[in-house]
Amino acid sequence: MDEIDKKITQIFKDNVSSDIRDEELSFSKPIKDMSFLDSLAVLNIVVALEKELNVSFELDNLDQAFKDINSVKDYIIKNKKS
Amino acid sequence: MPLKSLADDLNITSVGLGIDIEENSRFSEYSPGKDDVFLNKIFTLTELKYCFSKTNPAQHLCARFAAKEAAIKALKSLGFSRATYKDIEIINDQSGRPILKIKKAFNSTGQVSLSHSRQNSAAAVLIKKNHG
Repeated sequence: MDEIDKKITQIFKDNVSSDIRDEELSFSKPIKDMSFLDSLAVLNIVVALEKELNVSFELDNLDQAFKDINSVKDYIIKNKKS
Repeated sequence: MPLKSLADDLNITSVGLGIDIEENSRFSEYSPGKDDVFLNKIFTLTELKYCFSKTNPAQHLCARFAAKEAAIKALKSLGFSRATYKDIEIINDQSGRPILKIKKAFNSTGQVSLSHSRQNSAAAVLIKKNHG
């Protein structure tokens, strides 16, 4: 797991209400199938990712970036401000 | 009457329905200043001013968030897949009745109903896509 993976995992963990195991945060699992992640939790994750990883998300196209955690990571790598 | 004819009669393809329920406590930690980035992603200045003028802002933020979620569901069912929180505003008329305002670009009008309990706030939204 590289540095960005660790940061993303930690941000996801910090923003869900229950204790979740690492295996429940599989990077390839569709986010819509993560029952512990609702839209409010996703918004908190967006704000934390923007703050911690210097990136901006477009809320009107969030479904594309948040298909799974891999797509979140890809979005961050592509859109990270230098 | 066959269902298809009824749907045609009611022009039901241009009406979207959405419903949502949220826990009030999840909004209890947010405050202006500290959480501006988060709050400004969801709420308009008018909504924030209204909610934080109340003794229990969490309940009012929560109900408006539920209304926006419900409205987004309704708009998505009408084909507006990119609708987001600030395309929708909940204001109150002089009697306190909530009014749903939808960004002009969607060419739609709607109605909202809000409900609270001690723990939860819920909203139902009905939106009609205008033609022409």
